[in-house]
Amino acid sequence: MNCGAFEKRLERYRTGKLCDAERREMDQHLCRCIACRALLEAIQTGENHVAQVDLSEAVLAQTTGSACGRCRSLLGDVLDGVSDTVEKELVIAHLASCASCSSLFRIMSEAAEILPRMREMIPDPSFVPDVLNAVRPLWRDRLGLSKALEWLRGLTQRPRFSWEAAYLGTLLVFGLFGTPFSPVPDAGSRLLASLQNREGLIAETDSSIHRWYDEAETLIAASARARQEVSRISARSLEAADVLVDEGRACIRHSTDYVSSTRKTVQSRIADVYQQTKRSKAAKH
Amino acid sequence: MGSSAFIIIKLMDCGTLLKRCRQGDELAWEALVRQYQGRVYSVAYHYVGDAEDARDLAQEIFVRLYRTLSHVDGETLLPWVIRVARNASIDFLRRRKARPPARDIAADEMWDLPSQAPTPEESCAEGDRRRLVHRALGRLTSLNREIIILKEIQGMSIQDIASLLGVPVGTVKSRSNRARIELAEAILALEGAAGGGKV
Repeated sequence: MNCGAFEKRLERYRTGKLCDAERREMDQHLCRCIACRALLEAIQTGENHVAQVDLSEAVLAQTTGSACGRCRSLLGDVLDGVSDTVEKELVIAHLASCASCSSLFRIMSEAAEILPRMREMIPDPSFVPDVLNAVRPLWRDRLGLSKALEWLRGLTQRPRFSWEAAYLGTLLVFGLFGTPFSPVPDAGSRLLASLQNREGLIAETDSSIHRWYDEAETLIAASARARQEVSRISARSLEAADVLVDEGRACIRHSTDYVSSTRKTVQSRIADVYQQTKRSKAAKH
Repeated sequence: MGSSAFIIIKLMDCGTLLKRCRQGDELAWEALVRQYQGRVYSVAYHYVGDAEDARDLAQEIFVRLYRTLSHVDGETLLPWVIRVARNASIDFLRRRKARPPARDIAADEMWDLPSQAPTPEESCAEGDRRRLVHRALGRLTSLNREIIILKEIQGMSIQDIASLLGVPVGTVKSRSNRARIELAEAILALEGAAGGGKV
């Protein structure tokens, strides 16, 4: 039975009009519901109690103010049954006179019954197959590469990863170059010696730079000479090409003259042969 | 048939299930999913407030659980499941806040929208009462809502909740009472808006 059903039967309960089974249910509900018990007590107190409440409200308004805040801070403990007896009685007394706290307490007690029943919600039947399908690729690869990659990804996403990497890098450099057992034990000393011999290093670098400068100048001069030679050869080639072109033109002109004179000779020769043939035909006739 | 199988699975030892899952027994994994789907879906639903999103999120939570099966033992399985579900739900809410849905609905308003899919409450007798409580949950502040979900709905201990949320135990205790009062006030306000009625 919930508080709503109790309130509906309350009047019949007070007047003794309920059957035995219903009365037992009401008694059981009263045993476990403080709000309904307070409601019943408030009704049974009568008109005098209402007058006292009005008086107490007026006094509270002029002294400490409303006690609702204090009462509400204790409602949870009373509901859970962890408050001490005095506090519980005080809260019950307040609930009997305060409608807002009483309704709040009623809602809280009903919510306390409903909320645990919302603990599990079974989704639709296709949910489990969907989950199994989503996990199947991971299942096949559970011992494979993805696990190692996942581990590495998790490792690199840790907040202190950069510090740890720097620490390990320092240790590695020290192990490689700074211990007697390192594979290149003289690397540090050679580096130190070269750093200490700064003068020689600078002089060597300076002479190298000068040498590179001289070589560069030589290269530039050689390239200038080569450019002059190329331009001279190209000019001479142009002149020779011009002469060749003139000679070609003269040859073409001579050839044209020869062809025209030959054509005239052949034409006169053909005309002579034609005349001779014509004359010989006439002589025969 | 379905209910009896469910009862058998319920009685199965979590440690045994976990051990078999790690050995590659797909049946054990299926049993584990069936055993915890109600809890996981409930956590996702109460955090997200929408049945369809909660279903997708619950699926994602199980994938996460599968990936981290080796990090847990049988005794702490349930708190660990709820922890993973809660963290995934928080991630989901952050993602939704960063990339709101196309229909441009504020995250808080999602609680009041009727979903196209049947909600879990619609399939049971006291659907109206649960729907009212669920809507009232959506009106709480995020910390109070979390405390109600974890303590009152999921039944976690105050120490576990403090550890999960990263707040002192005293804060959870004091917040617990305040959260219940805030929930009751929200329910009363919703009742008033709906024209009265019981929880």
